Amino acid sequence: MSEAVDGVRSEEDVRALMRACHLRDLDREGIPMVLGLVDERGAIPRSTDASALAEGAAYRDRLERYHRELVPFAREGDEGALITAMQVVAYAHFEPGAAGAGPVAATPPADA
Amino acid sequence: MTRPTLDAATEQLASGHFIRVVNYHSTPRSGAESLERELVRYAELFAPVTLADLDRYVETGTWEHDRPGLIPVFYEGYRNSVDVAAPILDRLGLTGWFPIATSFVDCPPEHQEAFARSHWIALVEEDTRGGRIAMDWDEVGALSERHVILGHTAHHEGYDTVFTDEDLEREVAEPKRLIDAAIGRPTPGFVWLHGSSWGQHPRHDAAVRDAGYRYLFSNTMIHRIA
Repeated sequence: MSEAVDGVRSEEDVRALMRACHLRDLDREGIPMVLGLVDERGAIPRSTDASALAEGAAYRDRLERYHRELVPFAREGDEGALITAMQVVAYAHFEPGAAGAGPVAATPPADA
Repeated sequence: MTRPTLDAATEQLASGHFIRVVNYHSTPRSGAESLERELVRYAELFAPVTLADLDRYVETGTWEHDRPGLIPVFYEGYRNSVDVAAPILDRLGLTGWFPIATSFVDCPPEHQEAFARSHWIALVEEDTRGGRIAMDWDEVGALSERHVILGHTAHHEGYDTVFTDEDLEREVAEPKRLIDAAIGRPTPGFVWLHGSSWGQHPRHDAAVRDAGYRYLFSNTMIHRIA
């Protein structure tokens, strides 16, 4: 999906998402995250669910872009920087099918 | 050993190995309506995740329900996790995952506010009106009948403040024994303060695994470790 179509056009748009994500009232709403799964005992079999693979690929693209635009300073293994980028991805693209779409807050505003 | 890198995260996503989590802390009664509104929306969109579901997902690599899974996580062991959040989860059929700092639960109620303020446990105004702030052990046991209890150290510590064998025993191993006794079965997982990942130091990894935990939850991934 092109940047013009998905509604996140510029680095400033991504930074605005990051600010909005961090300005929430966390007594009134949760912190959404899309976490990876890993088995330290051996490899997890690749998913056989085509929709999960497609959504995962969209999340991968989204995370690579937000990481590049938000935290270009990050060294390999900078956990805090990775979490910041992952938080913004989840904040704006949490609902099923939203990974490739424009930003939609994960939940309605607290006073909605 | 999987470190929290961009490459690791993108590979997990592209392999279809990911799950949605929503992290909560204090859930005061004054916020119950907005919490319920949020959880109602999640219950419409997502399937609950039991421990058996997570085990199966890691085993097969494929999520087998018709809707994606969602894990609501309620941190620290607040009393309002029991009084406010759990009844909503029960009404909606969601499975909550509750990492608890065991010394917060053990702390006498008159000292719990000071304990929280001393150990990075955030309080809201409603938590400071007097009375017990943390859940008690009977409530931990009752909560475990429908939900999942995880270890979250004793004193809400990060791996970077836990150095000695004595520290590891107090913050990693003893919390597991206390929780296991309260819930009548092994707790499956552990979370460090700040959600630090597996692989920060071999000594800390060994302490978590040797204590008998099967999962480490971090802020970037869920590690199956045993």
